[in-house]
Amino acid sequence: MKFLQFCKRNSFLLLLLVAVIVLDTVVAALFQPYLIQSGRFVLNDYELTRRDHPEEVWDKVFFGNSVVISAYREDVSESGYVNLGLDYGVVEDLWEMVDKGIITVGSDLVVGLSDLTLYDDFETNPTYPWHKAFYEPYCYFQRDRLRIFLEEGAKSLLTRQAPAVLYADRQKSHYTGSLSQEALEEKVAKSPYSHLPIEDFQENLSALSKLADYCQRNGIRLRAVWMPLNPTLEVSTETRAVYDQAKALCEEKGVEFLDMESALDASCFYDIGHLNYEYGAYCFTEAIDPWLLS
Amino acid sequence: MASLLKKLQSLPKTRGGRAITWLIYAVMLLLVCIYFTGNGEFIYEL
Repeated sequence: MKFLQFCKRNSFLLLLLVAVIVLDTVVAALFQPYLIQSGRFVLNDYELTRRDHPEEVWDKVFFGNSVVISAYREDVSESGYVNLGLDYGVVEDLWEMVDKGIITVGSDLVVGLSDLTLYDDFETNPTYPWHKAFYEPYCYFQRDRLRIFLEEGAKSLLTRQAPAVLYADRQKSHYTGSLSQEALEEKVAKSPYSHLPIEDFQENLSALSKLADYCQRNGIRLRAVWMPLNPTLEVSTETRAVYDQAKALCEEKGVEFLDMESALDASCFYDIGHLNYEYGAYCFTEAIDPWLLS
Repeated sequence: MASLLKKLQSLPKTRGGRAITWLIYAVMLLLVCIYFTGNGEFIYEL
């Protein structure tokens, strides 16, 4: 009775809330496919993958960060794996994507690991859809793109010119050439990620563990590959500790672990771990393809 | 003008008028969401 009275007293606000939720859902349903396909917006790496692979289920997925983007070439590989490399991607991102049903993996999932793919405090792109809280309206979450859409739409109405399609050919960022040894050493010296304590990696290791359990429950074969590192650089003891824990976890969970840390020579690298796209990525794809196909 | 104002004032009293009012308020709230400060420069890295 009290509840009914409360509803009656606040009917205007409650119905307004319903109207906001319905309208927001309609905007999301209409705008999201347009955002991906229109070529009018700067897409993040998840959206670029979705644009290039619009199918609902991705049968084989190769996840990682920018190291995977610049190493695994879908256009060269015969394995059929989708390159789900994400700028600043970590294993927790993958877990959230899978857990929230943002992606559906069919039969095979390969995780490209490095210390940074497991680093808990790594920066992230705020527009990745799994960062949207359940209480956040879509119109707020996509405010940057919706604002552009409204303003450019109004402008094109006034000028009677179609809005510019500037980003239809946009691809994920990759690297060409190689840094000089001097520039490389300077980059290592300036890197804030070289000597991080193992405590800073526990949340992502836990996400990897949850992912392994999920894959086992759902009949997905999960495998891990430790991505190549430039052989001219020494691996820090802290990075080695992360490697050891990740490998031990994979062994404990029955996840096949491929170590490619020393698989490539220095000419393949742009910097510490990013391969150059014109040569290193070919070498990596050629080297890993038999394993991916196995 | 006076008759138009009268019409507008009586609008929320009808069911359809109330629905239009909610819709207008909902659009306004969503526009407020859209025009909040953005996500920053991160996504514009090219």
